[in-house]
Amino acid sequence: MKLFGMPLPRIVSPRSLQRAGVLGMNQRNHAYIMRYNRRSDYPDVDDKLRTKQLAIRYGVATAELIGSIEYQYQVRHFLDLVANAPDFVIKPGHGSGGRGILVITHHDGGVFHKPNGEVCDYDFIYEHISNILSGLYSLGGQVDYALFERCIDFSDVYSRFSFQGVPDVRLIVFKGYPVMSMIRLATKESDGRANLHQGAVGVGLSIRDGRPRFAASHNREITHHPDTGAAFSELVVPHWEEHLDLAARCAEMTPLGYFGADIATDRKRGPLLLELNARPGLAIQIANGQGLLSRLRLIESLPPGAHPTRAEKIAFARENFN
Amino acid sequence: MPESQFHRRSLYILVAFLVVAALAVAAVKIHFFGFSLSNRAEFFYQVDCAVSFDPEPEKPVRISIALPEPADGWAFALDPDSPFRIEERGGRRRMEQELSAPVQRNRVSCRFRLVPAPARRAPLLPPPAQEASKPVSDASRAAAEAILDRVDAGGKMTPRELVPALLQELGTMPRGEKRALAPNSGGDETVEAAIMLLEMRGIPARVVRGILLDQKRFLQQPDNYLDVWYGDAWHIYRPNTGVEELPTEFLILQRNDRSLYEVSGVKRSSIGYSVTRVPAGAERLNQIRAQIIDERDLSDFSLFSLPASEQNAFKRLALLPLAILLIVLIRNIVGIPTMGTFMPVLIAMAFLEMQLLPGLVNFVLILTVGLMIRAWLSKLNLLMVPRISAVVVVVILLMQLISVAANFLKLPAFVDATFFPIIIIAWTIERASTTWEEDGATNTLKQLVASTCAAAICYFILSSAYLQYVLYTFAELNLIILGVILLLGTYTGYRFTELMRFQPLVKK
Repeated sequence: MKLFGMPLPRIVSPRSLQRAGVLGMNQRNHAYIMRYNRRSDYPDVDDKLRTKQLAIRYGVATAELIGSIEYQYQVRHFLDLVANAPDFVIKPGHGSGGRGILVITHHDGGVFHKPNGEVCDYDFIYEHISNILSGLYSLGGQVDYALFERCIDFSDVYSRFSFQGVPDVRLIVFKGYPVMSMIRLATKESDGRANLHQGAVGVGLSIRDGRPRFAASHNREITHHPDTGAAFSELVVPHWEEHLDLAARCAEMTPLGYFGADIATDRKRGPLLLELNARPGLAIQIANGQGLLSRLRLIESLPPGAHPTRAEKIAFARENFN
Repeated sequence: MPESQFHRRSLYILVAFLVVAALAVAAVKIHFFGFSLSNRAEFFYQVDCAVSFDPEPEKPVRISIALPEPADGWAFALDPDSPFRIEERGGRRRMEQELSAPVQRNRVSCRFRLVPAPARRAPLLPPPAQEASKPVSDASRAAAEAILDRVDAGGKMTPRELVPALLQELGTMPRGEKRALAPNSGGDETVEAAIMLLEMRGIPARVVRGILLDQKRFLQQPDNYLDVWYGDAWHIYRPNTGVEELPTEFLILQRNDRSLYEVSGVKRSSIGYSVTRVPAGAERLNQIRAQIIDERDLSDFSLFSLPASEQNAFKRLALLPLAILLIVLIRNIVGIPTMGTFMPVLIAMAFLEMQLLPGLVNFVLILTVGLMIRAWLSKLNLLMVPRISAVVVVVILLMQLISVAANFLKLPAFVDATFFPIIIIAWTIERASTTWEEDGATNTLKQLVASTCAAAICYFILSSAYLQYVLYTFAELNLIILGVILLLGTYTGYRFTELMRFQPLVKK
């Protein structure tokens, strides 16, 4: 938000936001997260290893697990872990918002290559793992463990639409129904990261067919990628039905009623679950140019057991959430 | 959701209870104990009551002084340092002190205070049923009849007419004659004679003694006034003029015929009162009021009962709930994120110790240098806990450096850098530094500026002497703040910043 040289931001009335069905932060916390997400179920999403185990049990495809490091003395043996993996990702077990994730695209056991072309050495990775264990990236700073996964071989379908970085599809799942979706595309400004508040572009996707319906960056509508110049209207998300199915499956593996599922597409394996988020942000509304509240209200108005199966829930969502 | 409705209703009931309880306690304190909502300086009267005597050898001396009558607009409190204690004897409360033999002194002083209190009319009871009149000699009776006949032949006058006429008549008479009418009493002859005469007419009367709350008179003797019962009320007459009046600023020490003071074990004794008007802040007065509550056996429930050092600590904390409410408003209603939830409040408390501007300069200085050193530390790849510990040490060293430099440069306002909450600053530096790396400089500076602004706003609230006075004197008002915070916990409306953020979603 620039202040100088720019007209001050326009302010709208709460009533008009209400009419547009916009979900506010207080309402999200009070009426959805607190009501539908039990505190005791949070580890299902906050603990990545647990999410992974649940995903495997419920047939949700995820990136391949290499292993994990829990104690400081294990850190210097991390090479043993990745010796057979040509590429790997190190994640904090209790991280959030993509913090502390280190991607190595290829390595020879001494020189490690990052996706942006930089290289790093053993010490750098040693340090990074140590930082993860000491809780630097974990929620509340508690002691953490480091999770090793294989890299997702990102299909290049999005390459025209993203400046470096990993585009991922975010689906909000409410009571088992996928209610809203967007794809987050990195820009030069966001430094190759897919975080909207850092300047990444959010493209709202229709639940019906996964086609782009709106795109926004920094709260303003945008039609072309600022770095690549590609028109977002031409964006196509492959395997859309699988995205929906994956998201709806996630609702079966955790009792959480309101969460966000982040899905990336692997060239060979198709859509894979990256992580779940029990407190999904509200920027998805801006990316869709549409409020979330009316959709949530529609789901809440359904009688219990209206759509017993996953397929029925998806069908209902596709019919109603364009 | 019936369950959530139940929660909501019980919350509303709880909040209503908190508000009602707080208002009730505050109202009782204002109305019955005279705690003032205004913090302007007032005064109280300090009365020194000196009893002089000639002690008899080898005998203990016991002094008992009547407690002043409950007065309109004044509450009584014994000086806490006074050797006198309030004792209850036969339903009457008196100030008493015992000096064990041998008594070397011939004078004791009893100090008490009068604090402005809400006007409360002491219930004036009607006189007891006519007692058998004191035995009067026939001679005095005849003399009395003669006086009454002279003033009011035939007894046609109403008491309202009779009393002034009688007093005027007595005023012209020589002392000896008056003394002869009431030979047994040792008080003012005119008043005693008038009482005797009125009693013969069946009009109850008594003496009222008191002092003027006047600083100019040193060791004043109590004045005597005549109190007459007629028309279902007591009427006070000035004996030497016969006018019905009571001077303003007059403290009634004694009513009825109980003694004003008693001294046993002495030969002679006399009493004198000196009054001093002591200017005092509202807080000092409240302290005395709290002592009054204590003396009434209500066991003092206010913060004023604490030792002075604890009181000072709580005075500083008195406004914290209000500042915390402000943080809730800033975060949940306005929607401005601050770096660390309560960091602005703690920084504001530090500003309080060293004024806003030096505080701000100090804070920005410590933060800037701290961030620079933290950036250098991050290159060393330290583990988190040692790294933050290092930042803490750096912050302490910075504060010492600033203090020493300010002292050297003769800038006393900057010497107080030690008041910053060190750990909070260290965490702020740590958080700002990671935010800088993750979200970039713009986001970090935005959050830091927002936090500092919030701290400045908190400072303006915390530095209000009046708010501090009110929230310290009426600590129960914090229950209302608690209630508001609880209510804000259920506020699900839009935050102010969301009115801008989601503006594009409103279709034109």
